Amino acid sequence: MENRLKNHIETIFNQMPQSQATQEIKEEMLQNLIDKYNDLVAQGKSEEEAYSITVASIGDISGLFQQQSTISPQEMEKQKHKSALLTSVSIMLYILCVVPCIIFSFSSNVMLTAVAGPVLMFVIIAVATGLLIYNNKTKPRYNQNNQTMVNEFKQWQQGNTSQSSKFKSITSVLWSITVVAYFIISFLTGAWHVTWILFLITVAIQEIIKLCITIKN
Amino acid sequence: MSIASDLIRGHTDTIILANLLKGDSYGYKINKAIQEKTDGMYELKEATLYTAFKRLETNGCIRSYWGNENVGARRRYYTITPLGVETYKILSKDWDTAKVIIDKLINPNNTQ
Repeated sequence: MENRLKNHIETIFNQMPQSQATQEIKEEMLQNLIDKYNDLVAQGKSEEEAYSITVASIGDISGLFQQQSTISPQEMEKQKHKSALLTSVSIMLYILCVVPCIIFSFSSNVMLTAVAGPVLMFVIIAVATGLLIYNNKTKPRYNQNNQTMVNEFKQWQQGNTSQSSKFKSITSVLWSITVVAYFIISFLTGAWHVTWILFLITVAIQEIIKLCITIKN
Repeated sequence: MSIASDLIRGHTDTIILANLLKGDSYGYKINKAIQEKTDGMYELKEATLYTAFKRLETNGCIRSYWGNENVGARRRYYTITPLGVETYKILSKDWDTAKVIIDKLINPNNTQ
């Protein structure tokens, strides 16, 4: 009978977050239920009767975990703002990274034009990429314990976006090629004032690829 | 019974604290004491009991520790803290006040 109670506890705690605290409550509750069951049997109840009374006395355990959600909605909102800010700043840096090259291209100093510009550009790109990666790693995921439809949908949606990782790899290849092409063409032709247009072209190509994928789906 | 439970549920914390004033106890023992005191008229649901334990522990009114039973699973015991004693005094005073007020309000002979 103890096993039956144990199984019942396992079943009702199945959907609860599996944590140290849950384990402890389970253990505590099981012992108390066994006490209750034995007591009822000692009072002359039949085993079956005692079992149903014991099980019925558990009540709704979902309230036990309401305050256990690790991230509060406000906290979530704050994280979202932070993440949006980080993304915006890094995109801004990507756009601004060609500015040093443009400015230095007016200089007569060859060192400045050929070295300082590109170096600065790469530093800015590195910072922006670093920010994006940091943002991605620290952003809270939707793996909350809430079993609401909305969250399930969000989780499903997240799964979907990971399917489009193909698109992500295509674009990363595209951008690497663009940067290489930009330098080769620029160094060969010296036409720094024109070649930055390559980046705009790449943006266009990227959007076209995105469109193609969307249409295909 | 169900309406009465709703009325009583708001005082779960007071009931548990009152029980612990007499010494450390664990879940089933507390619930059994409640049952005996009320001649089986009232009993807390397990879920209500543990929710209250957790709330009281978070607020610092009670502390818990695992007993060292030799047989079967361990029991978790609860002990009342000085803060819990203070809280109990405030809560029971609140109830005394509320009792007087509600008695006056729901007695038709007292309405003017």
